[in-house]
Amino acid sequence: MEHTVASLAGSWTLTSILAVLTMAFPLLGFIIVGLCGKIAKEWGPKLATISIFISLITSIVVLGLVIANGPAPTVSFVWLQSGNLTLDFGFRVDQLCAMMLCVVTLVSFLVHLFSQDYMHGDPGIARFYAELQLFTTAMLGVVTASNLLQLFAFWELVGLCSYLLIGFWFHKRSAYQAAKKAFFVTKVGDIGLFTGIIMCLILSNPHTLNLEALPSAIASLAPALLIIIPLLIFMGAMGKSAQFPLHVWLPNAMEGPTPVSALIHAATMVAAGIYLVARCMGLFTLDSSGIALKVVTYVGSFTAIFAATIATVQDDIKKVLAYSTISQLGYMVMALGFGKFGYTAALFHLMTHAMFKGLLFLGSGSVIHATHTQNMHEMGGLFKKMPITAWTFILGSLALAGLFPFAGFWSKDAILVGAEATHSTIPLILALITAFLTPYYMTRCVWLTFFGKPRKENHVHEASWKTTLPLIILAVLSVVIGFVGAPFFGELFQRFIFFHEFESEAVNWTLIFGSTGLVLAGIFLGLAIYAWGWFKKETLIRVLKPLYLFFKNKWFIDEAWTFIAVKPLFYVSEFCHWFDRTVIDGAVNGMAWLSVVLGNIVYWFDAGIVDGLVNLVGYLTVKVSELVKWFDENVIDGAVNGVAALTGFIGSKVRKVQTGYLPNYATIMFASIALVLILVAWFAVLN
Amino acid sequence: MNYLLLILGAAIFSFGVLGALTLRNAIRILMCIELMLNGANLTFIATASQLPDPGMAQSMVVFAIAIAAAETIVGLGAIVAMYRAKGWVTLEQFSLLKW
Amino acid sequence: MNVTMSQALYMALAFPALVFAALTVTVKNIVHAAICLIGCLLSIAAIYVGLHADFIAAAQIAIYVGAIAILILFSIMFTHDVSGKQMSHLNRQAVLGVFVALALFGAISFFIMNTSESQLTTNFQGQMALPPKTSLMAVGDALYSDNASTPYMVPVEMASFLLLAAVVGGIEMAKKKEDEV
Repeated sequence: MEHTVASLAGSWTLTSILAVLTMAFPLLGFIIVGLCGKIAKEWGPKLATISIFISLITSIVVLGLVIANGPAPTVSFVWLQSGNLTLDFGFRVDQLCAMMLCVVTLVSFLVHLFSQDYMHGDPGIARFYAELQLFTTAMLGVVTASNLLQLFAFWELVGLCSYLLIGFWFHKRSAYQAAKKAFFVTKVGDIGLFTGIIMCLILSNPHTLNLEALPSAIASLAPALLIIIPLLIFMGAMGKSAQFPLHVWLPNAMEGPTPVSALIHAATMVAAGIYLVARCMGLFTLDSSGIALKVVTYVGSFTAIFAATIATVQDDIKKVLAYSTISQLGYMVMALGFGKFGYTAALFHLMTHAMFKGLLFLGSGSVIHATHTQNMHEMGGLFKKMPITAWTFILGSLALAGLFPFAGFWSKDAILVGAEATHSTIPLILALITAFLTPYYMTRCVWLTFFGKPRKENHVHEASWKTTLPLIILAVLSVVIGFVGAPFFGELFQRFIFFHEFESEAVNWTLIFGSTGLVLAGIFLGLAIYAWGWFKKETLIRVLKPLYLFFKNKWFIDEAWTFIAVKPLFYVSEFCHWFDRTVIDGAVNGMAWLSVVLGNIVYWFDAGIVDGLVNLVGYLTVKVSELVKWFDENVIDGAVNGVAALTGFIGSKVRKVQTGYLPNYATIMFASIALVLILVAWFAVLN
Repeated sequence: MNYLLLILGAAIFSFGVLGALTLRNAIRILMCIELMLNGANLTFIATASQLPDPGMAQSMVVFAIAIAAAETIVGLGAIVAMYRAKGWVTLEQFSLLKW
Repeated sequence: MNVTMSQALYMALAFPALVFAALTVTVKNIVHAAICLIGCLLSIAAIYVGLHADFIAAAQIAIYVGAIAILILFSIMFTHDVSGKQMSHLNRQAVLGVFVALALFGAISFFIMNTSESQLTTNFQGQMALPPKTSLMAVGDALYSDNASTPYMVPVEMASFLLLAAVVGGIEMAKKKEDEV
């Protein structure tokens, strides 16, 4: 093994101990709340929230320590050993990990707090919290994993939690179907990921899956393999991070409780794909032709614009946010495709996106909790009644839209700069169009939800502090968190997380003003249509009918999947059926016909020649038999009848043993075995 | 050495016998048969651990597990079929063997 | 009797195995029984690990806990016995069964206790110094290598056919017949 296998006790540092503790608390919470079940309805949620709060504190300390001392040495011990293959189980706490730890625990804590009200009175609340805790543990496991297989194990655990939580209201048909869909679609990607991992394991020299050692271990492979392996790993990321064409599960995942959508399907789990690609960036850059990274960029940029267009026509507030999430994830994936130019930007956007998308989902949860509907056309006029929710939601929307100086602006700008630096013209154009569409659909969403006249009678009011506090915290973060990566404030984030070496990015005024202009134009268009009514919505729909229907039907992707994947399966099975009926059955029938013909020939031979001989023998036999018959009737029958009578008499007594009661038979069997054993013991051993 | 484990194996086996003889639900009896097999397997492994090359004895256990799997499949298939046909799975209600 | 470290460890592992085995047989609710069975199988797997039989332990968990126990749970759901609800979970001759099981246990234990330590290990004295192969390699050697001292190649194939036959048979038995509704 090239990398050093640290002994269990050797190189533990305070940082790694705290990182492991960060994982341990939610795990403990999961075990306690999960095992107590119904007993834990009252105190379970509180306990879970406290445990995650402690995790949050330890993770912040970890971040502080990593900022102060740099990454902690990887702690690992041997997980399994087989032949010349050794797999470690380790914790790698570096800058990326420390940042992810903080993001995950922070959003998770706020979601725990928020759910206290949102899930109040739900009969499955203890299960809900147990699953949230398990999810947090698994997610922290993904970010601290030191080797690919360990990462994959936690990755699947995260997927399982996502499945459980989407299907949390499993009595709802749509919910459990959405859960199944999410599970299967992400599995499609995971097959790729797992294949990639196995290829890494087999082809690397020396055999290793350690994330630090892997790039150098597979560096000397054939160029084609160096394209295939990263792309297989990227497949896993496509599934988890909902990239086209594996995005179909994410909109359906909104069937889960809204806090779950905030935690899993906006802030953390879907970011795991980004994290995976970032972690394996060393593998992607091995490909000297750059094809792997190009694919990543194009998938990401297409997903970004594709999902943004769909988001413009959704009626369900959570669906808007879901498609917006897909679009923003596309942004991040696109940035990852720029290699070292976009690495930092992608992770920066991941962090800011976690804040404002978590905020938006929790805000929508607050609205849904108050109005009991998810359809934006049934809301409206909530601004006065829910001021805190409305203000925080608007701040989140502005951050998502990427308006100066909110968080989204800085990270989006960093991505655009990356696109410019790599001269990726098409992705840059797609990203700019997305940057225009995003403020448009968010304006539409905000206006329909909070402004205008109430379109439905409702008596809504703000919920308790447990609901509003997370919103306020996230809103503050959405506003200020961008400054850590702003070029005018020392690029703290870029100095902290980078690929190979830190490079200061040039301030590109054209892009800054250009994108700000696009954002303002988007907001203006949204206001023009929905607030001021300059254009009649119906007229627009009529004029742009084909486009509208195309977006409304989500680019017919679900139909395409049916056409590409589901239908052919039917056809294949139809064909097999037909083949079975005609070819195989035909062959069988042919054999049967042949047999009949042969049989007829044999019959003629039999009837003509063989029968004559047989008849002669028969005649002789009859004569002999007549003699025997006489003897039989008089002498033997008498004896036989006597025996039969005796047997019958004994049988009538003995058959009572056959009770027909199965346990009796078994008992007799085992009793006999015991008896034999006892007899052997008696005669052979004791004497 | 392994008296403890051998006795444990015997005890688990006997619990399996106990269940097989006293319970009425067919699935539970199947579970008890699994217990018996496990008791036997445990004995195998405990003894094997004394050998310099435990591979032989352990491969016996591999076979035992494979056969247990086959037995469970067939058993459960039979139970499901029985449930379809009769509507119950209590073994003692079967009296076709009665004279 | 002096309790050594490893004996203490085995006792710690044996206790849950025994308790779960007892519960599997005695609890009334069949689902609880299945879960106790899983607990017992897991405890046994832990003992296997202690005996350096990691492959068997993995197989135990994967096949018994992962497949068989789940299969059992599924069939419990499929065959929810409505009529049997009020009945006792014991059959009519349960008392007799207790005595038989006790007798069997007594007889087996008698044999175990009468086997001297030397009888168990005599044949192998002196060979224990050999470095043990890892369990996985030992099992792999025994099952698959083509050397003459390990004759299990064919039986392995037979076992796989047995499993295949069992799967086909199980499906055939359990599936809905065409004349049923």
